[in-house]
Amino acid sequence: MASILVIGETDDAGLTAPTLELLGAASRLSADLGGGVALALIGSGLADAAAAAGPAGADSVYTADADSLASYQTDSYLPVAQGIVERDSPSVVLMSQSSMGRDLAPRLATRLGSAAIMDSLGLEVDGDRIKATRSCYGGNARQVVTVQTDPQVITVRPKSQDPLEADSSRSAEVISVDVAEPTLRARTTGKEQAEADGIRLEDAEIVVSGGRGLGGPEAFSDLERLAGVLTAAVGSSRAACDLGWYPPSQQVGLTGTVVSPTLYVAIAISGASQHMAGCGGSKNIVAINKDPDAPIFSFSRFGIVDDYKKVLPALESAFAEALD
Amino acid sequence: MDVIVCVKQIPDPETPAAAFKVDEGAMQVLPAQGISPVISPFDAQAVEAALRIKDASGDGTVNVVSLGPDSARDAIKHSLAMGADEGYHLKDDAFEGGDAWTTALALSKAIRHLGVPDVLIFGRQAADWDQGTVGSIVAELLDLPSATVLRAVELNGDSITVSRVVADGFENIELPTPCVLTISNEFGDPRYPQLRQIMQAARKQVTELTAADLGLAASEVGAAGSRVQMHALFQPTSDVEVEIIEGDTPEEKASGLVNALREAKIL
Amino acid sequence: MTKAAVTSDSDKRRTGTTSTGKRVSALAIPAWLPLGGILLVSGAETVRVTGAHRELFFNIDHFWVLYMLLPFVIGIIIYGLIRRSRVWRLGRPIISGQLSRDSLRSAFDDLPVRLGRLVKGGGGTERVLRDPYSGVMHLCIMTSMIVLFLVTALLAIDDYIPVDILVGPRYLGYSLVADIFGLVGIIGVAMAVAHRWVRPRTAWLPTWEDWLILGGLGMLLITGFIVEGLRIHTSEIDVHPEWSYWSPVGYVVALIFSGVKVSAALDIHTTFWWIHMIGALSWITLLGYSKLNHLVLAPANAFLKRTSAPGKLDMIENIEEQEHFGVAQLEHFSMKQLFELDVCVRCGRCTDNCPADIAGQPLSPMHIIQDLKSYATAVGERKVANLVQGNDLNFGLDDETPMVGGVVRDESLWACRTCGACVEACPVFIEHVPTIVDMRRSLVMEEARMPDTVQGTLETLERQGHPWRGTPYTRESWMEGIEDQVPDWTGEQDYLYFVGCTGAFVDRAQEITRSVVSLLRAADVSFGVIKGMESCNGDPARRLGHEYLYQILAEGLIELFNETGVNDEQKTVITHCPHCFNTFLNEYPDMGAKFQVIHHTQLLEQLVDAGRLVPSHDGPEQTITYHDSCYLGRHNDIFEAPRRILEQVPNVTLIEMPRNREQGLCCGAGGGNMWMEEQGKSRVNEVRVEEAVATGAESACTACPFCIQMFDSGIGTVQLDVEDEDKLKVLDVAELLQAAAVADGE
Repeated sequence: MASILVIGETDDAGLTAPTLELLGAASRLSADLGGGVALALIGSGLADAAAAAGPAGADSVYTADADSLASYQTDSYLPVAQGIVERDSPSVVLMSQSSMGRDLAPRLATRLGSAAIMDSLGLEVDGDRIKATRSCYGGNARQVVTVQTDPQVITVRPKSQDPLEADSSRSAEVISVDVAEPTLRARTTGKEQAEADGIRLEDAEIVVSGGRGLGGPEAFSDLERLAGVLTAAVGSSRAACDLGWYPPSQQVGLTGTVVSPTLYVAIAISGASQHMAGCGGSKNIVAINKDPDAPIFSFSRFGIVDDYKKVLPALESAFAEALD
Repeated sequence: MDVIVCVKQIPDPETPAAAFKVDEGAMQVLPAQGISPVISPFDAQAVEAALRIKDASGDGTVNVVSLGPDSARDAIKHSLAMGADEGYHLKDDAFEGGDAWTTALALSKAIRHLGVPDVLIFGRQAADWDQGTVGSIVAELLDLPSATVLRAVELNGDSITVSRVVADGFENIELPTPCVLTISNEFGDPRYPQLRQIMQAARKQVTELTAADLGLAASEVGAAGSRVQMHALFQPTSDVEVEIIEGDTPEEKASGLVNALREAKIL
Repeated sequence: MTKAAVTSDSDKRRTGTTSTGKRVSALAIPAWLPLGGILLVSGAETVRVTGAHRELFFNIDHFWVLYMLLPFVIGIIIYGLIRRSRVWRLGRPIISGQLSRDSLRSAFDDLPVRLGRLVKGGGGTERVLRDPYSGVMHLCIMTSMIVLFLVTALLAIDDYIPVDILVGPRYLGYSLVADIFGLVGIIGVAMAVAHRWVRPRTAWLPTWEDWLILGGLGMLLITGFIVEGLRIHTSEIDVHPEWSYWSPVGYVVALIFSGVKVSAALDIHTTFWWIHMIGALSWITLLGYSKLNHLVLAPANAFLKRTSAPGKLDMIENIEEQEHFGVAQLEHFSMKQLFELDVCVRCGRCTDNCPADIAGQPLSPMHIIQDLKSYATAVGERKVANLVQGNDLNFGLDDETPMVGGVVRDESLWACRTCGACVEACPVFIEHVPTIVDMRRSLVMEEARMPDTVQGTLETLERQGHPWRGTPYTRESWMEGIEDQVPDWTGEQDYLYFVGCTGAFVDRAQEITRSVVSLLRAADVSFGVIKGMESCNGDPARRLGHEYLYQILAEGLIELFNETGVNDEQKTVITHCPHCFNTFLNEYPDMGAKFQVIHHTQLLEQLVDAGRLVPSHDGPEQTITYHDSCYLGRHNDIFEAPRRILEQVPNVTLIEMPRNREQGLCCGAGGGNMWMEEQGKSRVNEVRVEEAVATGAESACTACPFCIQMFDSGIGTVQLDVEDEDKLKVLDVAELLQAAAVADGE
């Protein structure tokens, strides 16, 4: 029995970055909480990912491996997750605040007779409770909350936690879970890729983002060129997405993707709290805005006060030169 | 097709940062002067989705349920003005201080009380606490299939086809009825109420329901029944001091920035 | 509330005497010229012309046919007008002014003003003369028609009375005058034709009506001369050649016909005489069936035009009991609004002056009126027929293109700045702006159909009591650091300074607010501010068409003013926003306001005049161009107060843009467009900034916080490549005066 169960996610490369971060957080918390760290993986073809669990910090790993679980569907994942939690009976269940986590966590918690805390930024142990700090009121406020019932289901914002250094000397016991044929009520019938291609926003180390101040959709091609030089992803403020200038999938903000890259370049973005809720976690923000009083500067490490139209070409060549 | 939408009245999320104040002792957000509370924007979009389903199906009703203090009535009235048929206000001192769990519990009882409709719609999250769990909890309590964070909802005979926003695109999901949906901002702007409907909504009776009406004991709801406890509420402080890169020409500013990023070992 | 906004200019409009006084009254010319001509000739002793005269109906039999036809002609004209009036009468029986005065009587309020307009504007074509070419053209045609009508009438009268008036020198003078004005008429027609060929304006589309009216008139004038020439040829030139010199054009025509045998010429004369006369009678019937009706309708419309301030919109009283909001159908218009559709002569002046059209945006006021006119013809007639047949008014009309959204497109309605340039320019006194806003009202209140940006603005107004969505500021942000210098309103002071939403929530405008406070303090004005408690007075909602929201906001603010003792005839509200000013001054009386209103430029001018503010600090030598805010200038006639302040600031040279004062071009922000995304070729503010830059001025001064923002953003684009220090500076009059009149640190 583990004190913390991480419900992880996998992709073609194995465990996803947020899963590694969750395992890192779980290891640190379990030191205070007592007990071990278990990882639950639900999907198909999980052997490689399961093998990576030990080095990443898990003591044991449950695998529910079946073709019917190849992609996340509420009706198929929920009973499997429920089975693993009931079998492991952890006091804490951690998930990433991902498409899966935000859908699964509240239903799972309810089914387990408990409750979920969503999108935590910071976690600390307080007795047998985990105190989670999370953002609310569109990023204007923070609250510290605990789940009073067990298990404590908590989703964690990607990039808010650090993964452990992989330790190949460690290994985890793999426990295979039987999977019954699921009864699907809601059925996923297909998938559409977002229009913008390139590096995924949430994975990018550098994000170049544009807002309403760009004045039109054409400017995004300039941003894409700069992003090409920097190997960055291109984001957009909600205002620009709402105006139809850039696909909604590239929206950075409270209601879009929440990113926390090493470098966030905000171009012609004023810095409304709605937007900052999506990029406030970035390690470094650089703002380019012609309005010296734009709120974005108060969140930025570096700033250029000028018209982006003039700065962008110069910046592109300066970066190209520097990275050459 | 009958739809029930659950809505919440919250402090206006467009309250400027300068007017946003928190009473840390009481762990409450102080109402900003001159700024009225509003229906949570995602909930207004949920009402829009419900009205479109009703329109597409050609018949049925859209009813609105909200749990909250007196001001929650305005969220219901707003939904009625948008075109919803009836409003139900879960109002009881016992509901105060509740969390997502107790809210969802009361809502699920109310929905059973009113009769489970074909479709139950929520906003993806209330734009105050930004949790986004009530819709899923209600789905679980009523044992209904659900799809969350949707950008499009379409009636497809007796079933519902939705487009769910996921990290790298959109998933198409087909649900039978009854089901639970939560609507994301990608759905598009909700309609602006017509004046005639605002006036009709103002005259319309909103049915009030108490905990007792729903067969709930005071100990099950509100602060007493909560499963999540809040320990602190505060405003984050930004301690970053911005360094403005000066220069006579855009070129100077650009190379200044690149140098600064290098020195800070960011690049 | 009395109109206590007390400079001399603001009074002009109320008495209806907006003329600069330099224009010669057009009416005087037709009246004096013929009389003078006759007197001149009759006094010419040297000319021996006793007995000179001519015979009425010379060479014409059966002339009585004409008299028989006359009642028919008049009947045909009247029938045409009455037929048309049935469409006008589809409208609500409200002619002018307040909707609540539900009667035609309101058309006779302010009778002296209306009569003055009728004479000057209608009869005198005062506004037509603003364009020299078209002014001269109209003057030619109009005087010619009046004189020739009088001449013809005089000849007939002379024949039927026992005394011969037109004999001898008097007759010859008469002949000369008639000939001259016939020629003047031909010149006018030629100018009108040339106008259509040579000088077509973009907005301007000649149609069959134009050619019929002009062709007909030209033909009448020419046949008239032919008839005269043949009469002279056959009866005068050989007998009394000295008489015929007094009909110079006829004399020339007679010479042309000199080779024609007299018997043949008499036949030709008879033919042309009948062509001329039947032609004249036919042509005049166009009065009832074409835009020639402007001869009658334009003066009528000058009389009917509202006498309230042009920036005032009509209030919808008992709004909660209305069956419809705004105008979606012809019958929702007032009779006056339907009537004036028919007054439009498609001259295009409104469109030529429309800021949206100038910027290539989808609005042409002329086309709105013309499209509605066509619609009123097609659909209005069918509605009339339905009424006659006892059907439902809209029977069989379900498939018609909707009037709002179809005949008039949404984007045209939204592009309107309500700046009033069209209304000011219209020579036949059409009021486009209320008609446009009425249709907006239907879009917003009835259909809730509007651009997202409009919806966002209205929602912010509803929820936050101001239109500045997304502002990072609060109502008190502008006071930060100077709270103790801003006196709280106690109810004891003389003036309430109403900061308004823009002055509070927009950083650039906060600077103006602080300048105004600094000036009021320096001049020791007894004033206070209702801190943090103000709310929008409703102007943006009203201009965007949301009358209901306007009334709610206005009721709330008046309640606040009542509670705080502001709503008192002894108290004066200062605004630095012309939009607040216009709404308080012209529209709040309908809501029960009693307080006085003054714009900061008016008060500052008074304070400078009284020596309480002395602009003594020498600034750098600079040239400044003053941009008129539409709601201060054109709508409220305050043109001079801000200019007089600027003139008294040391080292300032004031220069004007070509479009100034009544003809000033909107900055682009009016009518709620401050919060809308513009659609079209260019932005209005950029057009206006280009005009300001072209004057060579270093700074542009204005007195409106919207104009300032529009200029600032326009300069960013227009002067993108100009070094910052060389860019046009934009200042409020208060800021300039503060720099000159308030010592540093005060």
